Amino acid sequence: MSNENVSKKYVDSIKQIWSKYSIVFVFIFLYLLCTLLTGGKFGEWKNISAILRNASTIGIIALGMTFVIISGGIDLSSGPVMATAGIVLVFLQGSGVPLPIAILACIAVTTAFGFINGIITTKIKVPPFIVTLAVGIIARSVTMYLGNGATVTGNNQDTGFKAIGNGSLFITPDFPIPTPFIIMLVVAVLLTILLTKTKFGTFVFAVGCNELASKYSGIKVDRIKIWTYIIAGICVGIAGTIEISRMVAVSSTTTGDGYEFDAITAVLVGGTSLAGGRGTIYGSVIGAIILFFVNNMMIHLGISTYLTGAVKGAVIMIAVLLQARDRN
Amino acid sequence: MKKVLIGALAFLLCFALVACGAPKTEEPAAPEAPAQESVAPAAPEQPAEQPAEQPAAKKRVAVSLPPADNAWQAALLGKLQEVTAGDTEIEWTIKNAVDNADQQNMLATFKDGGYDVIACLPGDGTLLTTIMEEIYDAGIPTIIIDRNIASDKYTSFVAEDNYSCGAMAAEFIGKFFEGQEDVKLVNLRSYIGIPIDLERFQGFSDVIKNYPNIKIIGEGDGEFNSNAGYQAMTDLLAAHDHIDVVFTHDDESTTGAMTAIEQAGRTDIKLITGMGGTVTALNEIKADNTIHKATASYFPTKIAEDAVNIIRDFIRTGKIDKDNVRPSTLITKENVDQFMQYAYQ
Repeated sequence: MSNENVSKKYVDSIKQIWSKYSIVFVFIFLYLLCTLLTGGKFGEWKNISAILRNASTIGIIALGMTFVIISGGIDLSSGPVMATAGIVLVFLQGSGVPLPIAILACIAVTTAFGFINGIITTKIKVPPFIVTLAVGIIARSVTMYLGNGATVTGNNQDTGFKAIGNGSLFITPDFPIPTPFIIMLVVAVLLTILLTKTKFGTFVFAVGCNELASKYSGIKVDRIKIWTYIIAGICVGIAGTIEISRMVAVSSTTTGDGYEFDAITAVLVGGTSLAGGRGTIYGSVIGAIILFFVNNMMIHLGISTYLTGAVKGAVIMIAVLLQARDRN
Repeated sequence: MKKVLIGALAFLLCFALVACGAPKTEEPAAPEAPAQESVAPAAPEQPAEQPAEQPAAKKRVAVSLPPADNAWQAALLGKLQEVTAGDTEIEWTIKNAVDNADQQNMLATFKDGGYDVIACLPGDGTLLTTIMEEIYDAGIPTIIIDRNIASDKYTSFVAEDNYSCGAMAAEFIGKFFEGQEDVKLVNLRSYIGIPIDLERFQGFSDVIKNYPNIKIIGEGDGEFNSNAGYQAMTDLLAAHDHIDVVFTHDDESTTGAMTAIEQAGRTDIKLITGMGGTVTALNEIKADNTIHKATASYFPTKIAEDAVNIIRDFIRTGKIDKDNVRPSTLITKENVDQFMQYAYQ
């Protein structure tokens, strides 16, 4: 084989690797840049651990959102629904109901909302943007009514519950891995298997790519879509459990505020296409972590908080552009 | 599948109807309503009359509020509803707007609504200055609550003093660390850049200068809520190996910050101060077994009560002070019991 052909093959391999894992390279680049700019402090494990803990709630919501977006939908109800389920969780936990049951109830509430989103979107054929927006508004309103506009607290002495959001697994004394991050990884692995190794996952991609063709191929499109919203609902319930367990409290007005947009941003930064048909779970995980790089880096560098939005937008733009070049 | 669909729709509608079934109100809690209406005590509409010793018809007062999207605003709304309920002399209309544009429209509607007094807690005082000036120029008395407009055209301004909140906190911190060198302080502000934040920060900055041993090493945004306070504090703890004191602009942020500090196992932080006066904060200060030793009062319940009393006095007597800015009080273990009745959640 001539040298030219070898070089071409080499370049093609690199292009292929970049095409598949561009978000990973973007992540590494941003990590190195932040570490350099902060004189190494950013890269210390205690700092990374803090970022991972903060990113886990949005990350888990983003995992479920990935399914919805790949299938061609969107879910704008995640944040408010998380607050509604959170109120149920603290009511039950504070009343002495066994913790596993309280958590299951929380997840059941978010799953029910996911089911409602799926049913209305598919059977009444209302665009998911409108359905989920309306459901989110209703959920927030109901949450404020149930909590009377106040912050609702549970049993703050329940160390087991608090450990979910605040605990760590110590590999070594200097190397704690935040419990929320471990939960996110477990959920990510399970959903990756579901998305890439099952017929259901294949159908999710197919529906997102071409709904009509999928229908004619015999795929039960409505059922697939409903299941994506149910998965998203389950993820919101898990994320809500972690979020509420940190302070064993829910603010009926602010808990979950804007989380759906952060989750969508994480999914898009991670490489999932808003048009549907393409995306990865690991991309959404990385996208969520990248979002939290910015706030953390700004504090390290002592940069005016006014500029956080500008830097965040720039980071998102860089991450998406670097991947977009490849697609074009 | 049709039955499932109908069942789900019915569930959704029932849910919405249950949520609408709040007592004392005839307005539904509609999802996308332009303004969230709160309690409007039922009373037949009557034309406004000049104040008299025993007015035959009820006076009408409209109160425009921003979204009740945090505990402080929710507590203010709750107190307003409570103290105005059953008023035999005044018909109160209390409404929350969705955003600044909505509040502008609401105030324009109030201006032509035949009200005797229009009170407003502006979401953004600068943005709503023009409409409030128009109302004032139309001869309708205007009461500005908590956040002032960028104009002198108002009848009265009712608030607590944000500047003194920051100043007193700085004084407390300064005295707490008297004699100690190289004290490192981090500042957890709330919605950096809004007028309240700037006033509190200015008060703090002006006084902390008198304590050159205290240095501000970092800053975060607690966004008036515990989750944001938690996240911001987590980042600050990771960025700074040693912190002596945390100064926050809000008790909800303080709660989040303290959780972050506890979770990180940090024992270097000796003091945290807040603002507001939440139940959690006052309980912690009273118990005196945490680093939370003080908070500057900024009770929404007191501001609501003051505003209503001032409006009632004005309607009865026709007299009112232009500025009703009450100084804040620094709440510590020594005086916390006096303020428990005003604490909000």
